[in-house]
Formats: sequence, structure tokens, C-alpha cells
Amino acid sequence: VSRSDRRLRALILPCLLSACAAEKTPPEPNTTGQADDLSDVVYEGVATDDALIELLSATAKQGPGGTVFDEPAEGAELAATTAPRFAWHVSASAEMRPAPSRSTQGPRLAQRERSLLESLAGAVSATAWAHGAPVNGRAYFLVLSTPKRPKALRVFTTELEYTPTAEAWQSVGTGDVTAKMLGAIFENNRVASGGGPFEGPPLHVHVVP
Amino acid sequence: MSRFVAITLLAASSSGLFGCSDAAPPAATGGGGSGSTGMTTGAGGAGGASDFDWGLPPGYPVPKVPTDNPMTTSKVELGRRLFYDVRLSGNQTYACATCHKQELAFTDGRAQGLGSTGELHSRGAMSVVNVGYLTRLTWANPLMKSLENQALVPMFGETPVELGLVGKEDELLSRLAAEPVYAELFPKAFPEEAKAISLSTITRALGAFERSILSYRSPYDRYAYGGDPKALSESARRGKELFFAEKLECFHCHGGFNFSDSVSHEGTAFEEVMFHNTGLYNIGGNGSYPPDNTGIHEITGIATDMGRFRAPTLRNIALTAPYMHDGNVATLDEALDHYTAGGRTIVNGPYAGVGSKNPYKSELIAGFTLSPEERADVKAFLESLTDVELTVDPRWSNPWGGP
Repeated sequence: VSRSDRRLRALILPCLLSACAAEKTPPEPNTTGQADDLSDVVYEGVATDDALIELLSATAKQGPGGTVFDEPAEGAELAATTAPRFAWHVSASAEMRPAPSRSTQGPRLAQRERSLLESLAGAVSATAWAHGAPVNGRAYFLVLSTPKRPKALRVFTTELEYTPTAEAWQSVGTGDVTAKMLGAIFENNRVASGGGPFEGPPLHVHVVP
Repeated sequence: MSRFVAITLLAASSSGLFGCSDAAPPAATGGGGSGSTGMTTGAGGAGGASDFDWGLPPGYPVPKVPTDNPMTTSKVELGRRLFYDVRLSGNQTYACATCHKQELAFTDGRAQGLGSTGELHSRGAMSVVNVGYLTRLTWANPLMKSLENQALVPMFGETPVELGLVGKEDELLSRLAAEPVYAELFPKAFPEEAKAISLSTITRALGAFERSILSYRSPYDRYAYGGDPKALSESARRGKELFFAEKLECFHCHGGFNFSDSVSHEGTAFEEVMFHNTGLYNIGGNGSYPPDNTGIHEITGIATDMGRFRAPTLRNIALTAPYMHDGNVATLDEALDHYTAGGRTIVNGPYAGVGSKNPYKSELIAGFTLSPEERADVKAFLESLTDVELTVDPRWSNPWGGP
């Protein structure tokens, strides 16, 4: 399924999910307070819209598990003409913990030719097979905002870096820009138990013409 | 044969239990449960609070645990002792670990298993890594659900002989009872049992130990779960993109955190059971596989089940050659050749045939093209699934001090 299809799905899915949820169980707390139009989101790596919807419907936590920006530097002055590389890692406190010591002594497959409508219906039941691999492991929702544009650029990615296209970077504009990151560990597009979401400290940069 | 073994093997047989990694099972006679069906979450189970620590990082799936076999540190330690103990074979030459070597991600490096009496098996020894996540065990038995019951097959199975213990049940118990370490460990692991050393406690301890063997520290894990940007090479990252793309279709059968299907764990509601024909054979052009190795067709007798086997995990795949159920694919390159062509062509011999045209082949094995660079990237990604720490972790190593 193409990126354009993904975007269409992203537009329609929140409505479908919302309708579905209304018939079944109340929706989870939403950090955005209401259904979000995700059509502007750029997807990178093997990130999926289903996973993003899951992420945004869960409550974020501060603390261990959040990301730390490696690039650009906090307070950096960036040129509007050159898209910077954003890079990050998960804070050390969330890295793989050592194995516990123990005593060593003594005692179904998707139909790939589904129509878009069918695949949308499939997505409502939280299967993402029709549009690529579901997210397993961490994925990150990077949001660049300016004082006037809280959603200047939004990216959902399974990678640990992102470099905007020239067009996307120019769309952010100049002035103060804040980068925030919301991440989680997923299993088949769902936030795993104990997997967050985690929020890291924001990054502040200044973009000059 | 003791009453316990007789009853258990009868039940296993009637539910198609035989059909282990290399067993030629009798015809299935219908359904029926096989072993523990009650599963709970986490380490505890019905036994109450547990001191067991899986060692998993946050957000990583936790295996389900049978309600009648909760995880405890003592039980897992006992299971480890038994897993490496040659007294668990009839002639005291083989242990479970003989065919499931830690340094090879608990495989044996052989194309086909070799039993304790020298019998060559028709299938290779599968890895026991992450078996605690599987809804079905072994290569091709849709009825094999329980690690505890499965342990009886290598111990007492006769087609083929693996550990060769049939008829030596009492001798086995006597051997173990004479070991001072076990005199302490069995009662500690099973304090509720009046008779601590029994086939039931042996298989439960083995099941608990096998369930504890988890792979979660590969470079891929450090990147995808640990958030370490230095963990994966550029090539492996490109290979990851290819692996998860529809072009290659790999992830459909080797997806999720375990790089396999037929997985469940704490929190999963549905039980997925999948078997696949990958076009490895097409003898005579009618879809046939070698007669001693026809997959779940051996159990079900359904024509379209010909050649359908469970997709093994790709975790540690670089350590577990040779590949496929009969070890007929020697290297990762050969495996990529197979999938690139959408099936294997065998030009001469009794098994000649064009696997890509196997009428029972999965629709996902359609073939693809890879540039040399892309192929190297996919291999780099597959190699990034190697969990070196798993191969030396003392939790799963030989406690008896031997090789």
C-alpha cells in the first residue's frame, strides 16, 4: 500500500476507530485530548499508522525509557536552507538490563490484493497486515513545533534518526523550533505492556533564514 | 514401562504427539488435548508467588506459563541440570544438550538429528531458544502444544530413537535418585510432591528450563528495543527495511519479536497456528515431498497439507545452519537462493522437481530479485539477529562442568 494510501487511511481510521470505540468500550486517555488528524504525518522506517494511533491513545510517562537527542545540539542555530539530521537514543536507564544471576552451583495470512476499503476494515480490527509489517520494537513520534504552529512537522519512525526533505524542512519556517519525542515499545502495532509511551526532554533550536 | 509413561504416551499418540522434530508419527486418530492446557501469565502460575526473574528488558513479551508448572528459580535450575545430564539417555551417552548445544543457539549443526543409538533422523534438531513463546512445537505437529509433554518424545520415542529411555523408566529414576545434587534439588523444586523424583517432575523441570531460554540481546534487539543507534550497521539497517518490505514478504512468516509465527505470550488472546509449504520440493510435479517428511500432512492426511512445516524463528539464524526441516539447505546464501527463486529446483535424482511450481506452496513464496548489494544487506540483517550473549549465558550453560 502506497504512502498516499497510508495518508488516506490515517485520515479515515481515527473516525472509524472512534465509531467502533463508541460502540464498545470508552477510548483510552488521549494525550492530545481529541481525535487527531494525522494526514500530515511522515512515516519512516517500518512505522505504521495503526501503531501511531495506538501510541497517541495511550498516556505518556516521563522518565526512564525516554529519548535523548544527540543531534542537533540543544540551542543550535540551524539554517533554513539546509535540513539538519535529527538523531537520538534511548536514555541509558532504559537500555537492556544485565541478566539476573542465578546460582550455578548445587542443587493467517493477509490477502495482498485487498481493496483499500477492505484493508481499512481490517485495520479497525487492529490487523495491519494489509499495509506492511506491523511495528515490533520501538517507534518514535517526532514533533517539530513553532510558537505559532504546534504541528509544523511530524514524523513517525522506527529509526533512530531523521533528516527532513528540503521541502519539509522549509515548511517548518524560521525562528524558535522545539522538537519533542514520544516513543514506545510496540508489539504488532500495539503498545507493549511496560513499553511506554515514554517522553524525553525536548530539544530547542533556532532556525535562521 | 511405568504406568505414568504408558498413559502419557498413549494420550500423546492418540493426539498425534509423535511428530517431533524427526518422528514418523502414526496416523492421527482425532483430537484431544495434549498436556497442560491451562496457561497463565508471567512467572507465577497457580503455584503462587514466584521468585523467578526472566531477565527480560521492559516492554519485551513474557512467555505464558502453564498453571500446573509455575516458574521458580529452583525448578529452572533443576531443569538445567537435567538438560545437560547424560543419565537421561538409555545408554548414558546423550543428554538433551547433545542435540541442543548452547554455542549453536541450542541446535547441533547437523542436517538431520542423530539419536543416542546411532539412528539418523529424518529432520534436524530445532533450536529450543524462545520455545516458551510457541503455540506449537517441533517442525510439523499441529497438536504439540506443551513443552512438558514434548519432553517425553525424545526421552521415550522409538520412531526414531532419540534418548532411548523406553523400558528404562525405573532405571532412570534410580540413576537420578543416586545423585546427591538431585536429592537436594528435586524436593526444593517440587516441595508439594510426595515423591519428588518422578517422570512428571522431570518433564516439568525440563519444560521450565526450556521456557527460560530466551533470546533478546542481539544487535537488532539493542537497536529496535534498546534504542542504541550504534547497534546496527548501515548495511543491516538497509537489510531490515528489505526484510520487512512486501517485496520480500519475509515478515509474514518470520515476523514479530520472535521472527516466527505461531507465537503467544502474556497478554495475547488468540492462538495462532501456522504451517507453510515453501516449495522446497515438488517431486514428480504433483507437490509431493520426500515420503518420510511430508510435514503436517503426516498428521492430518489432508492433501493440501503436503509439505507444510512450522516457520522456525530466525533469531540466531547465522548460528543454526543447515536450514529447513531436513537440513537440505546448507547456508544462508542457499536459503536466499531458495526464496529468491520462489522455490527450489532439484534437477536430478529421486526428489527432482521444480519447487516453485509446487501446487501447495504458500502464495507468499513468489520469488523476488535482489541486487548483490541488497543481498548482502539482507544477510547483514539476518546476522544481526545473533545473540552472542545467549551462547555463553551461565543461566543456560552446562552446570556439570563438562563441554
